Amino acid sequence: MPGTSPYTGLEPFMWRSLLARAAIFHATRTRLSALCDMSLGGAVQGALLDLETWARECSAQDFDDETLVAWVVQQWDAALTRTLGLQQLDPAARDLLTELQTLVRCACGADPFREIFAGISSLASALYGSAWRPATLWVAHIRSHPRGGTLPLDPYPVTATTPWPPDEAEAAVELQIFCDEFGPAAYAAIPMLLTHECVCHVPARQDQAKNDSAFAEGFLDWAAYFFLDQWAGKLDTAFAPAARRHALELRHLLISRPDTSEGRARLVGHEAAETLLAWFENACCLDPHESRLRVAQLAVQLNQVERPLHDKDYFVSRLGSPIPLDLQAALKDWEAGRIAADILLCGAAVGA
Amino acid sequence: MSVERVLAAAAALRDFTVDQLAAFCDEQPPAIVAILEGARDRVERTDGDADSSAPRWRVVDLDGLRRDLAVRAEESGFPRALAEPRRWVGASSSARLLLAEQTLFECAAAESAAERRILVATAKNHLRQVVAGVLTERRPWWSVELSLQRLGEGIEWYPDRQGYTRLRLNVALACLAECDAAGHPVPARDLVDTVLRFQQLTAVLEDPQLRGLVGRFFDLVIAQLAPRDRSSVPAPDRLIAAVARRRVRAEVEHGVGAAMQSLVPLLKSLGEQPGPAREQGLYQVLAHLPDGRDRVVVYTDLLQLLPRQHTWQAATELLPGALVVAVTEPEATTHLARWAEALEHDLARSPFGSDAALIGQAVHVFQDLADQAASLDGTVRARSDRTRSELLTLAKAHVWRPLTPPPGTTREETP
Repeated sequence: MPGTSPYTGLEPFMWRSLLARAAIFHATRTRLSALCDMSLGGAVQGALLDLETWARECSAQDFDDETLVAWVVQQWDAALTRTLGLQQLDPAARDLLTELQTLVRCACGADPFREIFAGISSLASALYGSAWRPATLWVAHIRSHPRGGTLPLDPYPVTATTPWPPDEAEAAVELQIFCDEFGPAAYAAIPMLLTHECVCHVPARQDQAKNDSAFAEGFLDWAAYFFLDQWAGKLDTAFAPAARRHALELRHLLISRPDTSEGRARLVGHEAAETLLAWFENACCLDPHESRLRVAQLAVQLNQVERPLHDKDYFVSRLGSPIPLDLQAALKDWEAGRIAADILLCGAAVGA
Repeated sequence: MSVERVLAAAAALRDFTVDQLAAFCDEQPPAIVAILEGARDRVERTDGDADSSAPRWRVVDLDGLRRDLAVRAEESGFPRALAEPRRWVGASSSARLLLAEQTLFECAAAESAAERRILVATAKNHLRQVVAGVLTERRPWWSVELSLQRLGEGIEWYPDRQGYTRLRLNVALACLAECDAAGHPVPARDLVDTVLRFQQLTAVLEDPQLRGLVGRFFDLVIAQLAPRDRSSVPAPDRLIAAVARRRVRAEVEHGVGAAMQSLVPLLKSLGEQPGPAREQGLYQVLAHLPDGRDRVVVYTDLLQLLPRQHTWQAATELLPGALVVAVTEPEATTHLARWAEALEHDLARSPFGSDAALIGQAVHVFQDLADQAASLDGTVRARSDRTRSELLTLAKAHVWRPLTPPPGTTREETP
């Protein structure tokens, strides 16, 4: 059966190039962090370059997905055997490459992107209940790094978006990948990117989408990180350590960019969430984990309130330390279950 | 840790299905059910009123559940400490300042007063937190007063000069935008004082990185000069005021210092009386001089139509960029009087409500006048083209978009 692309708009040759690498990263996911750590030099970097070469090579072949992955595995396996045959090889690199060679033989042609997304959207659906919009994944190729970064400094040439407004019946989440630089770190960051879209945007009930919203891109993003931390093991135990680690590294990268409007919104929103977290611990005497749960729960509830995004951004702007007294009183009412999130939001807006 | 996480999630949710609880913790549903079954004195199933395919659970003893969690935490050997919010020191303050700035910029596009008010309030919250962070006396951020009158007080220790200026500009912007959204006019003397204080910072304001912000400051100050009730201001007066406001605003792109210099007389002229030329119209003879020439007040752009042979000298600028006192030869006086009358006549029948359309209408009249004057001097057409082109640029320029007026009043419409 000739090769096609399962995603409209993603050319078959581009899909083959992506799948060849993604299938290998998926098969080797238990060692993905080590692969990233050792990818900047020596034999491991050489092995990754070999993989890229074979991925390019197979993208020109009219293979179906299973044949394609089997072919790339065969070529890379042979390349690894040659590398492992070298006399002078760093012992750590030798150990890693040997492990990779074993792991990669289990690679298959199933679409790993769809598998990751299915798990995340299922958990997000349980989180949001009736407010959830069924979502479909699209994979697309972009022509440059989404943040204009370069590989050693920003090894995440991937991003995701949820076109706005989403269809009431079905939202679309688009995973955008700069194929030329798609490596193990980028693959490991995909669970976080998709969790962000599913927690922050797919079920959002507001009037607009804004990349510089401290609520949508910051406060809710904090909750998305919380949920990924909870979900990673359930999604895929083998992938969890790499997914968690690269989520944190991506967060560090995005938050340390106050020169962009997205970076500012993220930083301010995360700081607001941390302020609220400390308040729950100190003022409500909640256990640290329960406090995190309460912040995440409030974020999810606010996301479902049918109010303008400006109102939600205003609420976040008031979560500075110390939290204003009237808002503290309202938060205590919410924590005690006396008022709902929409009332909390309306109350917070009274001062505006 | 899973038991603690499941029970903490139960304490947070209080009433839940197992699938909902599973989304809040790291355990799978079968393990969650087992943990809940083991905490029967704290949680219970409420199958009676629930769909049997998704049984609900609820916490029946929240305090007890929390005590259990506290005991477990103590047993794990991690003592509780007072929580401190995590901070991204330094970056957070500058990010917050720029986020406030972005939010204030958004106000210009907001359609309603309510939307503008919430945006300004959001920006002010961010600004208060930035200011509170640099005050020597520690106080809650929400008690920090932001006002034009106290602009810059207490923030002298801001770490860098550009940041300090940026913060002051944003505070001024927030105060002006707040008045604009609330429909409260700012007294002209307060505007003048504010501009005079910023004049002392001109060297920093010339920084290209601050240009957009300075432009927005001009927009908001100038927006205060737009007449609240347009219907009471004759069209020629509105034209002159609109041209003056827009010319001063356009000066910012060429140099902040000069623009600041022009802004003060503009505020003094238009601040208290929105129809500056009410007394003069587009043209008025002030005096016949002993040497046969005339001292006139004239709409500046009309002078560009005079043939070269008719000399004139500007004496004083009454309204920056729009109204000038000039000394003219009698022939020039005659031309100016006739052209001013033609323009006023045309404007008097103007169906247009906006400044932009009014300027556009004047440009058309200028075309006709230039055609007439060109028979006396061929260079008139080129000069007139330049003037008309500049006026059209002014007409198209972005200005602070005024809100739809409240009932009973008329305000400037979208240009």
